[in-house]
Amino acid sequence: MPPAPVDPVAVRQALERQLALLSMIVEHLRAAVAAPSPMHATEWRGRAADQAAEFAVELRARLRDAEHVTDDTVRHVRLQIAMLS
Amino acid sequence: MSDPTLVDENSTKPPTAKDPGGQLLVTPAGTVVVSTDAMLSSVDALRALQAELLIDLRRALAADAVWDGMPITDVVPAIERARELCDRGRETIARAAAEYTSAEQTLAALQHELGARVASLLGPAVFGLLLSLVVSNPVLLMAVALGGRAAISDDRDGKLEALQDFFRDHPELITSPEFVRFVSVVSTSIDDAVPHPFGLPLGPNGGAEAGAVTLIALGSTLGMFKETSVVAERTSTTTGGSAPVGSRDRLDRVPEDELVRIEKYEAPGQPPRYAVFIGPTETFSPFADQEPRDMTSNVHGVAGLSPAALRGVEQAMADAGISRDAEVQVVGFSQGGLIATMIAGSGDWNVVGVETFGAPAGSVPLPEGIAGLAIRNTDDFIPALGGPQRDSNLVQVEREAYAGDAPIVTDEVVPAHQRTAYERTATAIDAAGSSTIRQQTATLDAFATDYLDAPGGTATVMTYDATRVDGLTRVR
Repeated sequence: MPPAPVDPVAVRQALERQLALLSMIVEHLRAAVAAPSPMHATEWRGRAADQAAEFAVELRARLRDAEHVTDDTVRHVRLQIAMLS
Repeated sequence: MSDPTLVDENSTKPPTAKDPGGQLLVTPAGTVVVSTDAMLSSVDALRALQAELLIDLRRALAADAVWDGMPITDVVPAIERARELCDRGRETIARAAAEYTSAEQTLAALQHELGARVASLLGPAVFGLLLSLVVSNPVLLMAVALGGRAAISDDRDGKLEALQDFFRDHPELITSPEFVRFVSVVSTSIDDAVPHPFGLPLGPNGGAEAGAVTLIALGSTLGMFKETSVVAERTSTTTGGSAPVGSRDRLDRVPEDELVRIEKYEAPGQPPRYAVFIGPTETFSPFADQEPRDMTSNVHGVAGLSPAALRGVEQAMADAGISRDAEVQVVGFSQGGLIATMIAGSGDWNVVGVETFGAPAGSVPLPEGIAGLAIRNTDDFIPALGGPQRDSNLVQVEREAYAGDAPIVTDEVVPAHQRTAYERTATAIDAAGSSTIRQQTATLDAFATDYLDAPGGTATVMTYDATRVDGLTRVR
């Protein structure tokens, strides 16, 4: 059975839709990474301050990781769109 | 990351030169769990971040579901990992708060049980000693503490002045959370020390209420704490003025030299609303004279009876035109806070908001659904005279007025109970970041601003003072 015919216009529209959604995610994650820690670290003292700081570092790392993964995906989507041109 | 305990119970915000106070401790309404404002702010921020990440997650899933698009495989798990960490942070903070609260409650329960047992063992044997130590001294102590100023001159044998001088020289003895706990134990153990002294019915729940009833019974043998009739009179009426905004602004409107200030807010097409600001104790003699803002009102208030100060405020409210259906907000400092809480808890008025500062009102139950804050300095023992906090329908905010190694002022008898100490706490509350506090202050603010910011909104301010009359006749 022959493969279904590919509609380049539909594919482009789909990729552009994905690009729009993913770009919003990247934008938010980038802002979240740059934002002050939600742990209000200056309010903690002693051991709690160390743990709050550790938590803030780990949270920022996870947000940055999510941002990088999403950004990579955005690049792939852009590449796919470019290849359609 | 290791499982963190994000709160350090031994930590306090370092005092600054301007404000020697510690961080805000918050007990949300309907709970007994104590958190710091910083913890609650962190929980708010983590919750907000989680909500935003949920939107990201939905966008990623929507992108993955696009027909003819490319597969989106790694984005969802990466966002999920960040969301999961937010969850863990929130849970850890909540657990830390619960553990802290549990430890505090266990300690308090042990102390109260010990206090009650010691008191009941000692009671009959050392009744005379208790009369002087448990009755006289706490009364004198309350007198000195509630005032701490030159007005304390109405004692009969000079003890008040001596105590005043002593505590001025040693403020650290009575300005600590540990001393507050001790006072709470004493206030709830007096009735255990004097089991059935005069055959009087004690309060249904024992504790501070029963202790105050016992004090009244014992004091009556010496002519102390005799209630009287009271008459309230309007002293001024002015129109205009701004809406109170923030805890500090409301505290500033609590009168010092009069019984009560009532602000009437009107807006076109709306029924009037009233804010009632009730002043603190004015005179400290346990022997009632003309002034209803006295120790007799304090003790009768803690006992859950009908103190003259309460009746005077209610007369003023009626004179100001406050109907039983009109929405009322009550604010009070010290004894004024006790009276405010009693008015809110009475069910006789349509109280929708309460804000108290340093009120010995822990035993006064409040109905659910009232907005507001019960504010106490943890090193101020006056609120502890009302016993431990039992009501949980109002958000409780506590703060050490002199935290850590902050120097305690020596020109005031009970520094942590002074209006200046509560002014600093009120300012800290206005700067609080947690939604638990902000929602309450916003609701209290809106009570007046909703009307006065509307076109045609007006305010009328009435002040009242009251006088005890007919000293031999009990009323109600």
